[in-house]
Amino acid sequence: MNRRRAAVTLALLVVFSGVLPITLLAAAGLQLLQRGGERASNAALDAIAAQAVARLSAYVAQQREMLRTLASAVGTEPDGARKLREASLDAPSLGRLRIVTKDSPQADLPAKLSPAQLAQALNGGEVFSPTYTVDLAPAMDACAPTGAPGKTVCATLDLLELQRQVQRIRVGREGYALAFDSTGRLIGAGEGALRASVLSGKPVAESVAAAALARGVPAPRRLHNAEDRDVLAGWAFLQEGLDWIIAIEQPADEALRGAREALIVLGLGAFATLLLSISLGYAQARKMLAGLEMEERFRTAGQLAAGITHDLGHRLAILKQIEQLAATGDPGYLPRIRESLAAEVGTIRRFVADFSDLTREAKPAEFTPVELNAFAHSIQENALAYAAETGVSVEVKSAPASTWIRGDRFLLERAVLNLTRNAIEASPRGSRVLLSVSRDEDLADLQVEDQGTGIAADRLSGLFESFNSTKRTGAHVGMGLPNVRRIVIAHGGSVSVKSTMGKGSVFTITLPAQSSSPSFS
Amino acid sequence: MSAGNANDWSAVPRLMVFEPLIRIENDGGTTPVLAQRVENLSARAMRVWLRTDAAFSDGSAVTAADVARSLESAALKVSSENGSILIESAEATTPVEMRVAEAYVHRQHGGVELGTGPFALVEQDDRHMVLRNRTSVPGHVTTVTLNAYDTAQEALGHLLQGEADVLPQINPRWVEFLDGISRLRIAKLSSPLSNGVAFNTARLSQAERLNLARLLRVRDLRILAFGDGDDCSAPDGELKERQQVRLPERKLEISSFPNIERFGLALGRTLGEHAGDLHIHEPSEFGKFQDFDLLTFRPRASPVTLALEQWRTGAVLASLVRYSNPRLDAALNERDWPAAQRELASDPPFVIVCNIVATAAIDARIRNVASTQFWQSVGSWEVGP
Repeated sequence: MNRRRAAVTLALLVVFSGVLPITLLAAAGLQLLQRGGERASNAALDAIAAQAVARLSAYVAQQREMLRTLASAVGTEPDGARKLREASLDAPSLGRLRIVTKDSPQADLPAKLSPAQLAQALNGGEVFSPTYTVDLAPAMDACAPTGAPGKTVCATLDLLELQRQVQRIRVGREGYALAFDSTGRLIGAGEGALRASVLSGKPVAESVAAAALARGVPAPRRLHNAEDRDVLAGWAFLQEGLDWIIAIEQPADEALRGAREALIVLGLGAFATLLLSISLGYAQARKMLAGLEMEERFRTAGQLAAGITHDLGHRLAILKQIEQLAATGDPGYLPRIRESLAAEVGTIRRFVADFSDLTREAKPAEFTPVELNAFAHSIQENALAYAAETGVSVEVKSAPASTWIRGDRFLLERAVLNLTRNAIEASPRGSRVLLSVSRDEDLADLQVEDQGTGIAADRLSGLFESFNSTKRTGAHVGMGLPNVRRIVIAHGGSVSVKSTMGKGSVFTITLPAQSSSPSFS
Repeated sequence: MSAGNANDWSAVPRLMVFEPLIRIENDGGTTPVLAQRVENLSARAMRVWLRTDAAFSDGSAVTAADVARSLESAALKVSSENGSILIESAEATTPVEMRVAEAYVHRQHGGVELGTGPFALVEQDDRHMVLRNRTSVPGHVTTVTLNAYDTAQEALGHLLQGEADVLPQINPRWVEFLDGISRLRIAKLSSPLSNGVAFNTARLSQAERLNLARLLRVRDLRILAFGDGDDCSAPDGELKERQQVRLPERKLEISSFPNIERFGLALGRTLGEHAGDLHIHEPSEFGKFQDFDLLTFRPRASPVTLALEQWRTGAVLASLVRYSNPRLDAALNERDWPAAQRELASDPPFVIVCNIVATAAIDARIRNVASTQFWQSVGSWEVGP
């Protein structure tokens, strides 16, 4: 694994161990924030509706107070009718003021007051009608006592100002107010297109909710309005003397824009922070891994130097002895000197060959098809001479069918020869080394089995690590098995070992098998 | 729709489809329309020369025969003389040019009356008409659809729902109702009517009427009665301060109508201690009562010729206030409008308190709307994005 892959692995580890929980937490937080935003928006709309109701209520109370004052001040005076007309010139919102008695003509009687209400007014009571519409504006008939029995002052209050106030309420850019009477009829609208319903009396989407609210049923806080928009709504009921329901509506997308923008900023912030931490972690991991690799290289170089020093020192000592033997000039030593020199040259050649193997890299693009049964027999041929020297036989157990893999034949040969040579060296005279080939689905196995003394269990785990050889004589600096593993891994495979003390060891090379025989062109 | 006189809703498209020979301007002057030249012979006769390039919507030229047929259907006598057209009116009270200005030239063709105006009628039924602009100019109105509704409120409802682009002549109180609707804008249009006070000449002397005219042409009365907005504009000669004038010792009886009751109340306050009772009459009673000194009403203020004709001996308004002035009648017969105006000023049967300004609601994208000749200007309206 190179430095880059290690860093990517580390970064992915961070992503999967950190991002997922953070994402879940963020999603939950966003949901909570959204709900909180909607509740806050509804509360604000409720507050605006309550303020509107308070203003409308104050206006109606003021009009009625003016009527009461006028009625008691001039209602009983001889020229009261004239003074009332004068007063209506200064207070146009009171409409036509007139004194009503039981003898008044029908035209002077307030049209929207019931006979019972009129009787109550003539008996000194204060009465008023429900609101109704005159010339597009809301109006209300009202009578106030004059203090004289059988005489009351009546007016048709012009409530255009209420409609004006409702129309002028604006919430944000698109929010507006609606006013309904207790039956759900729209009587004022801040939204222009809805005002057509004020004229026609046709119910709008909110009419049912408004009528229900007048009966005490809570109104919805979120609804689809007449324009099929999702809106948040605040409601208030003006009961005292008017029975108006005020709805303050604001499109949900506008009302929640602040919360949504906060969510986006928070989300982007969290994402950026996460991205930053991953980037920093990745960079830091790469830096640390580079340091570790450098340290590992120095350690490896040290181990290598120790091994080379040890082995070459041993070889030099032998060569020194041969030199001393040759210095005697005794011809009788010549055969011994020649044999010793030949042996040392062979040893040093293998030593150099081991290092040469380390320099060759496997290149998948240059892999060629290799049939393992034939390959095993080839290894057997190569090992026979050395095996014969040690009195060990080498046998091959082929797979029932051709078993193809792709690889660098030279490197694979070096790896398997290394295992075979080790097996031969570990085997007692007269025993056998078995090379067996098998296939299981997509994997091909090549096993090297000996009948030696076996490897101690505590050594098995570090067997493929560098410079871990126990054979500190001859050309064994501990690079063989690590090189075997390096070659096999470069072929996309693996190598493992099983060993039983006193019975021998089995090294298994597992490689990806080819699905069918290769075609050659 | 026909070119003949009518008071129904089709009077509006008539102004866009048909044209008269002449148009009467507010100052009483005449402007040729289909006529090339006009020569006033007397109050009852005039001579016109027809424009040679005048053509109907099908491209055919307007002939003297078309003019004769059109004017004869408006009870005018027409005869041709050496390339000119002599027009005579038998009616005693209305000058001939008034009659000619209201007579639209047309030709019957295939069951349809062709006109020479900027628009041609494409289709019509009881409730709607479609007019097409005869000249297509990019960015200008090409087609006009006129819809009729039972009530003005119903029409306003359709305007609010975006189903109409223009609603002319809305109640000024409704302007509040359109407040805050950015799609629409309010246009103020000139109106021929005014708010005035008529004097009962049988009960008020010339001197008393002159004093009353001075007293009532005051800014305070206008604002008290009609507010400080622009729904009723100040007339020429309005006085900023109330004048000290001598009024009759007796209380002056005031008559008014329900829709201008406030005007009557304001008039009473202006008269102060001289104000008598205020009598509110139903519109149907107009002309049936004469026991008043002052009457609030809505006289015609322009064009000046028609405004003056209202006070000719025997005219409806003159009869109501029992006004008769031979010198005025003579000036009108001589078409000496300045002399007639001077006569009315020196022997006034009424005073104008303010000139009514009409209110229209128009789609905010429409520009170039003329405040006068509103319907005649539709062809030059520009429609923005």
